[in-house]
Amino acid sequence: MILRLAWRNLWRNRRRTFITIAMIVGAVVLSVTMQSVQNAMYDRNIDNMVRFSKGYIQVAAAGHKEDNTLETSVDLTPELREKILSIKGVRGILPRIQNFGLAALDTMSKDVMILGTVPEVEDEQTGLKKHVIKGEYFKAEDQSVMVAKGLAKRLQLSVGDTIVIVSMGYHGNSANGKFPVKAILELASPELNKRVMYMPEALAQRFFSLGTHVSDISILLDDNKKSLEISKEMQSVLGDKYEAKHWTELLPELKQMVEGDAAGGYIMYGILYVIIAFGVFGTVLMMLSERRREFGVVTAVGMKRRLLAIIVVIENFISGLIGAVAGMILALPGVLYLKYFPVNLAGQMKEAYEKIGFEPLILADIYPWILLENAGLVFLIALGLSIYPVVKILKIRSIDYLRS
Amino acid sequence: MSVIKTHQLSKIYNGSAVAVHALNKVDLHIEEGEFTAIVGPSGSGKTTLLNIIGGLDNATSGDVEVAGKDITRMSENDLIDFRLHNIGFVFQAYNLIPVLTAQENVEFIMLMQKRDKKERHERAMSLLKAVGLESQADKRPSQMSGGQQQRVAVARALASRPRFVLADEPTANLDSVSTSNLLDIMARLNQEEGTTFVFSTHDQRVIDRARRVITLEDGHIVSDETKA
Ligand SMILES: Nc1ncnc2c1ncn2[C@@H]1O[C@H](COP(=O)(O)OP(=O)(O)OP(=O)(O)O)[C@@H](O)[C@H]1O
Ligand SMILES: [Mg+2]
Repeated sequence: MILRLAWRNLWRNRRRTFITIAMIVGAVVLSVTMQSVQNAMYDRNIDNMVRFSKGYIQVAAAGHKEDNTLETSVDLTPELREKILSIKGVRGILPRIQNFGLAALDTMSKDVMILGTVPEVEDEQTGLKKHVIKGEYFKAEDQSVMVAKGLAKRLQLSVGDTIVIVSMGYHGNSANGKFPVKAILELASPELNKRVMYMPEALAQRFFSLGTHVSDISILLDDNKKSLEISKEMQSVLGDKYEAKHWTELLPELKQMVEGDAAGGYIMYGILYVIIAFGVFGTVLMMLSERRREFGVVTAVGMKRRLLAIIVVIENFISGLIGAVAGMILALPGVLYLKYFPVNLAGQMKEAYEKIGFEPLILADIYPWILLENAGLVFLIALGLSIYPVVKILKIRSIDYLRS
Repeated sequence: MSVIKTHQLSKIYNGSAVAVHALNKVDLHIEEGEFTAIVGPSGSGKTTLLNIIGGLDNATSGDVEVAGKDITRMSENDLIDFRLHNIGFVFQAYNLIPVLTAQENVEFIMLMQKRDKKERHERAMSLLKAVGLESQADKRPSQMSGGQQQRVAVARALASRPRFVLADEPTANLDSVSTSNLLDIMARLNQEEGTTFVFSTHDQRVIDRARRVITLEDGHIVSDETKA
């Protein structure tokens, strides 16, 4: 009968209950959508940036410096390769070479960033092939190179021409060579477009007299979400002659940006929850004044105040639960839509996104924990507001409530 | 044996600018089985008296003994329990829980007393029959007339097998047919079940039905007549 009483009380003033539930639903839908979008956009943009730079985890020699020289290279011996690949969750490795050089052109020269990489793996990791705008993507055994668009223009090079490079090899060896241009690349970053040249890994190792050395090794993972734990494990497996760095160490600015944005997000959630709390609290006050006389009568005839309080909590529990569940269900269509049909931004929004290096795209991803976390939190807030009527009810003096 | 005893009972309201002596040294004994009306002009202290002997309000001074217990110094929680087991209440209006049916309203009080389901059901039905509302058992208060609601309230007041029933102007919102109907029922229950009834009223027809009439004026008992 107690449950029945609570259930019926819930529907005695349909409008009030509807308002309460609608507010809870609204809060859940909004916060789930916000978080799904935020989460998906982070994942995607972090992924874009991380893949294109150093990968989720990078292994290098201890004390490695990102200075475009070969000073701190790492010897990629079969044992090291074996050790890395034996770690659970590691799918493969992408060794890269990165060195500074000069491209000679008649009377002048132009500084070049020379990147040696494994063609197929590089494409798999960064989608480099898509950036070819002229010519053909290089192969592992090629003796030719690919040149970024801006650099090619500056040097007045086209596919089939030859580029002359002067550089410093390993241990101060000189490295001079001529390479046919196999392709022209258009890269996303204007900075890179002006300077970059790609070489197949083997060619670069020979050119720079590196033997089996490389500058660094990007680690390919089965699940990028586990990158932090794997990076720690890798460091302990490899020992202190090497450093296994997580992308958050390699790209601290990106990490900071994401964290700053997340903090902004929390403020938004906070505001949303406060609004909802006030709204729901309003309906709680409505309920209290509506049932004042009734509370007086039932306690006068002998109903324990504790029992009355429990009934009111059950009522809030039910309406909170209905709202939270309905909110999760109603949040799904919008989130799923954005997951499968991301919205392309245009105009100022697009520029703003591109400025910070984000794809101008609104998308979402749905995870059970996002649904449960947000619905659970809103539910707890709604339930927590029962404290007020409970305190009020436990202090009822029937006579005061009967007089009203 | 007196089921209600007051000794030098006084109530002073200090709410507004002037203190109001709502009850002034009232000495009153009510015996088991009485059918008593408290009458008097508006503001004479009827409601105040019923509230205090019903354990709903505190006296300013004096003693109140109900069913052999001094209730003047009980905590609110103890009073709630005391009321549940000893006193039936019929208020002027809005007595019932709106979301429960007539039968559930009557059973509700026995549920609070932790009576078992079968007993609850049987007693509720027999009381609804006694107040002539057997056929309305499944109706909610909003589907019943004011007179029917008051009859359900009487059934509920009796459901807990209280020592006595207090009714503050139970007929104030009723037409004359419903009034005499309710009085018939109360009088019959008083006789058949021996339940003690104490009610306040303004209504001469109700006063005529009482066997004892206590008249209050300005917080004093000015007359106390028992009919032969
Ligand atoms: N809560 C209160 N605060 C202050 N004064 C009160 C309060 N309740 C009653 N009084 C005063 O106490 C006196 C007695 O009131 P009471 O309600 O007992 O009279 P009553 O006989 O029941 O009147 P009525 O016939 O109008 O119901 C009145 O003067 C009233 O104004
Ligand atoms: Mg009164």
